[in-house]
Amino acid sequence: MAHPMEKTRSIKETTINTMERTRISVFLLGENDLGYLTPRPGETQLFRGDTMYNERMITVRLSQKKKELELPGPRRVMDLLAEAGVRPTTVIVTQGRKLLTKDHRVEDGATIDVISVVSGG
Amino acid sequence: MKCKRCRRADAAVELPSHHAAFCSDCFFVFFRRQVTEGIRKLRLLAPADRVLVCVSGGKDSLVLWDVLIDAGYETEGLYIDLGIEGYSARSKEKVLAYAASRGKTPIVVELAKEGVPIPEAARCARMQECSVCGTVKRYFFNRVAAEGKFTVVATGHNLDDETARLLGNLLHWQRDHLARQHPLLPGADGGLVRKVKPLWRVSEVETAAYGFLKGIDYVTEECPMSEDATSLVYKEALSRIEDRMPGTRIVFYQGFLDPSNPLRKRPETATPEDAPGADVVHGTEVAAGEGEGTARTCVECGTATFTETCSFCRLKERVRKARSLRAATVSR
Repeated sequence: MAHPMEKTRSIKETTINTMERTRISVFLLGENDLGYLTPRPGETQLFRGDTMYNERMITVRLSQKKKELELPGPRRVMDLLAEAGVRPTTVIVTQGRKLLTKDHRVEDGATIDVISVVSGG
Repeated sequence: MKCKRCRRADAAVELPSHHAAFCSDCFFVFFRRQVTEGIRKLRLLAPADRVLVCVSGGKDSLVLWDVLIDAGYETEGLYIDLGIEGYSARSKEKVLAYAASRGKTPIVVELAKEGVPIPEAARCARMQECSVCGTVKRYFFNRVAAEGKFTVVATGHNLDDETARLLGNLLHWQRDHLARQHPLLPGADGGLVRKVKPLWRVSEVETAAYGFLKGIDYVTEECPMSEDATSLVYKEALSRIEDRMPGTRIVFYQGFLDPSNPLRKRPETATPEDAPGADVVHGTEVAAGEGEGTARTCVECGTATFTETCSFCRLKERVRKARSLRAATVSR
């Protein structure tokens, strides 16, 4: 079974496929139609560098990994963490000044922060 | 999900190990109770104690200081600037900001001024950074506490830290270390100050949640020197077990602390490993001396030790020699 982290790639890494996806989206939708789309088969997320990017996705900021993901919503925190390859018991998840429980449903357009709690040494 | 205590507000913190979820106000009550219960159960602190709280700028130590201030203890903070480029400056900033918000001024020790900044000291002494850091920190915890007439030193070790160390000691059958591992390390004559770990009952998730909800601005980045620390391996193993069987960690540690547990005997007095001269390798204490001995004073600095020269002075000497050797090589 593929490791969950294999599904999640940084924005920078995924822009390499932008040209290919641009051709697909223009063919499918026309140049100005950038409405909501579900991800391609086999993928569960879209990226900012992608012309199929939906402005109202959930932004997941993983500050310790210096990584930011765009994931389609609405989805529960635990599902977002699974998608990002993060074990829920090793982090706290925040939205602004609010702490989110793992069953909290995050709406499209929201930005959440995933903060690791594991200290070493 | 609703708070299990007030049953009105939405829950902010879910704690599967306690079969509970709390809103922020009820979580504060729960968290403080956990800490005060940990203090009461093992008699870690007395109301009259002068507590030196060792703060690193991370969540655990700042939360510990916050809880102890709120509980009414007389506290001062001690921050040790490790001399790690970038990281030390950022963590110091957090400590100073928190202290100012509580009307406090922490005691600051700068290792660069003391001649032993961690990266250089580790390089010169050809030791692991965590090992050098442990030796140096313990030395200053004790020295500052003794000089400032503090009756006890408190550190922010939490349940995850303690169980990771316990697992490491068990896996390697470190019987001596198992016998001494305890949230209370007694003091001894000659300047060895008592050390306590009041957060032994709360997990890392709980301290992080408390810190966040209280608005404590702590440094979230990890020490760059601890990336390959073996304690992280033990923490991950325990965390995976905890995922499947919530509550295992606290049962594991409380069972270990049970006085009837034959693996450990509670020390009545300090042992060589409690002294500032003991070495620490990635959270597992290793004796610096040649076994049990009697407490005396270091011939160099006069601090309490179980050997002729304390390990901090031995470290300083190694760093000094390496520096002079390097200077001689450069001048040639």
